[in-house]
Amino acid sequence: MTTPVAPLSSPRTLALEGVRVGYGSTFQLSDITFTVQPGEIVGLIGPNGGGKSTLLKAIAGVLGIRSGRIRLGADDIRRQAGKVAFVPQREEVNWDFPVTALDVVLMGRYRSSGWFRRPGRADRNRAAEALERLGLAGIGHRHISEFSGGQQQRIFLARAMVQDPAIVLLDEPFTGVDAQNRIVFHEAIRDFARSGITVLMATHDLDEVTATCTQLCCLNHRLVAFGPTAEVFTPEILRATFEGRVAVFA
Amino acid sequence: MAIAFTGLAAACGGDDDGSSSGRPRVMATTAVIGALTQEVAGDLVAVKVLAPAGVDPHDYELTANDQKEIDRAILILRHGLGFDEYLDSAVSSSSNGGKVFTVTEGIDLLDAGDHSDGGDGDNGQPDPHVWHDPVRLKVMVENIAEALAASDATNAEAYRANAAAYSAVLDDTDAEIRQLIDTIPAANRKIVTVHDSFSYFIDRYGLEFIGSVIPATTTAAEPSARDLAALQDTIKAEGVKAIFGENSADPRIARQLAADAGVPFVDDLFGDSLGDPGTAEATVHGMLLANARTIAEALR
Amino acid sequence: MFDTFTEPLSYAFMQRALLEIIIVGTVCGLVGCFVVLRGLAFIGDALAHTVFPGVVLSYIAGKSIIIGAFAFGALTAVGIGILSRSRRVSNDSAVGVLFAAFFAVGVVLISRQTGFKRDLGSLLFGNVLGVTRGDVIATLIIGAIVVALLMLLLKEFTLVAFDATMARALGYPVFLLDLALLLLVAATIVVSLQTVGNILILALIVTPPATARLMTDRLGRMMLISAGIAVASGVVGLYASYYGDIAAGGTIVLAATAFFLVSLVAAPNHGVVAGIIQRRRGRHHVHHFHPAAEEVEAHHH
Repeated sequence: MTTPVAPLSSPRTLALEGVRVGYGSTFQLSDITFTVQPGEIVGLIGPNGGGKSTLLKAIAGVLGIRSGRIRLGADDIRRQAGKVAFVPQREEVNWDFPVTALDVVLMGRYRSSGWFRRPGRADRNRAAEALERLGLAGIGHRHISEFSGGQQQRIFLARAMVQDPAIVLLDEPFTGVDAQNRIVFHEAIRDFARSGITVLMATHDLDEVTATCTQLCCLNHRLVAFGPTAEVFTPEILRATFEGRVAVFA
Repeated sequence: MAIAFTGLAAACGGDDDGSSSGRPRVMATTAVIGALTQEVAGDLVAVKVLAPAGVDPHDYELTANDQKEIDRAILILRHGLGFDEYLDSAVSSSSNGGKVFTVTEGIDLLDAGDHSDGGDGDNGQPDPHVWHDPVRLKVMVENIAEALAASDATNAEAYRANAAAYSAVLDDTDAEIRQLIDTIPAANRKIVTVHDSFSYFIDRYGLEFIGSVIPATTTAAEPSARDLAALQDTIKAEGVKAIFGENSADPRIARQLAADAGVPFVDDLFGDSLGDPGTAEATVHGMLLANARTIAEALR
Repeated sequence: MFDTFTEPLSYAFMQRALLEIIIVGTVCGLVGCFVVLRGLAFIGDALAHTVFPGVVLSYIAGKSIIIGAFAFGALTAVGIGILSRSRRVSNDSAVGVLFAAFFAVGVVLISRQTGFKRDLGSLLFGNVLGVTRGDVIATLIIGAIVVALLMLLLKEFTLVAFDATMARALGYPVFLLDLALLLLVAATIVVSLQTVGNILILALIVTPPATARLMTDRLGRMMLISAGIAVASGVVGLYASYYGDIAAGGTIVLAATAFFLVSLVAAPNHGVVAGIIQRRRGRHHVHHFHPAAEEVEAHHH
């Protein structure tokens, strides 16, 4: 597969420098430094509690960073918040809130509508289209709680899509998802990459990682390794990342 | 008596209040009783009023200080008729088994709300606002004198003499009020108030009670929309000249009602309270005269 | 029959009361939706109590209660906003302490007053039959501002309520938005105090939206139904006071509660009867669109 080749500092290059995240004397993450070119699909792997979610949230701007910088292109990423789409782990949303699937997807258009204005017809069309692409045509009017878990993830993915982001962050997108949904997600992720959108995906599913990701980021409170999948996905690096708690079948 | 009192004072741990030094302490539960006691006893006793002027006695809550004063008093003059029920537990817990006397005893009472049309009244409960009638006041004055005489026999003569003198003042007041009321054309002698607290005045001087904004004689009740509508209609039908408010009542509904009915709202009556110390209205007879003038001017 | 509606309106005080309750009902019904959806009922109650000393102070000074009440309401809203950021302070106990303290300040202030200013009755229970024309106009202006701000920020409030994480990720100032919502709630309370008083005001803010939530799963409809029910409760309460000779404030709240109970039993999807029927038919809320091994997520209600 061909990915568009971009110059080292294109406006969509994601660069982390010396990033530290944490409270008090212990740091969840320390000295994270790497650069991602647009269109890459980066898998974030590491032991539970090792900082994968934390890193995604730091890039998304949901958690603050203690030191270091995160840039998108030349500018600080926080100044371009609309360009980052974050697809959370499911539990963090208010499921009783009276919104339909379409309403949720539309939220991805809020930033571009600006303050004090409602999303317009064009926005609604895009939202409906996104739902269609993810196999949820015609049922956007149902309440968000009426969907299965896999469908809910697709709704959040659609929401990320309509944001027209430069970066999409996925936190454990394949957890508890069946084969059918998996296929849909893969397609969506590849579509992102094809349009030059960078995907960062935290996952503990190592099969997924080898199947989908172009780059690998091994995280265990610090950066154990970062690079193309083929180079990084080795038993030694994996052992170092998981501190021996992983079985690798070559 | 003086020796016994000093002994008592010493037992209580000394007298903080230098001004009453040795004078018997008498408590009154209302400002009106306090003022009357002042007329009857002059400087012979130290009078303390439990519920200060301007405060609605129904709502009053005893402070620890009040309890202390109750313990020290040789005589407690209460109004009764539901006005000072807070006193019951206070007196039973008092260390002084002091004498308590209800000064409204023997007064010819009216039933609460027995003249209001459409209202419920208190179903056979007596109306407590007896002090608005100078003639009934004379009974209270006499009662106070006798109670004081019983507690403090040395000065009994003085008390009775003062009482007689004040009764004469009340007679004069009665005559003066009657003259003022006479200046009101008969058709205009119609009274609408916020609370139904002036029945004794109305009864004594032959006025006509049309209605009150708050339907019962207590302060707690809220009028319903129907009550207000009925009252507004009646005011118009009867050609009432003014609505009267008083110091201890919230005037807002009455003010709007008056504006809607096109009559003035006169907020100057003294209902449960007396005027500020030093003014003519600080005395009970002065207060009654002031009310009579206010009413006469408004209805003329 | 028509007379039944028009007769009370021949009285000026009924016209004013009706206008007041219509405006108040609308504002409470709309803003109340976010109070209910974000679980702010306790904080709303706290706000209602903490404005009390402000009301007392204004009353004593003879100025409109709106000024004092809003000053204290704003103070509390900011205080609550700041407190809820702190991880060390337990949110609801801190709020509870605040609101009891403020209310007590109000009670003590009032006990030092003389005359009718000691009349807690109209402050605590409302005085809708005594509203002046000026009151109605002030209510209209403030109510209009509150509703306008709510609608302007509707999508932002919705986003923060549904997915605060995404709101933060998109760069929205979540703290300021929460503060803005609290201030709108405070303003709503202040403007509505005269109708049902301090103690019952929360009922008008919470009950109609709770009723509406039972009847629909769409936010827009919920807001409309909520406002409608709040206004209807007000009108029913006023008319009941007129024909039934009972106090207006409490009756308004009872009417709102009656609507809630009816909705609780009879609402099409979420009501008790509907629940029984659905269980009988073996239906669940989750709809399966793919017959093959689709896991059933525990998100049905």
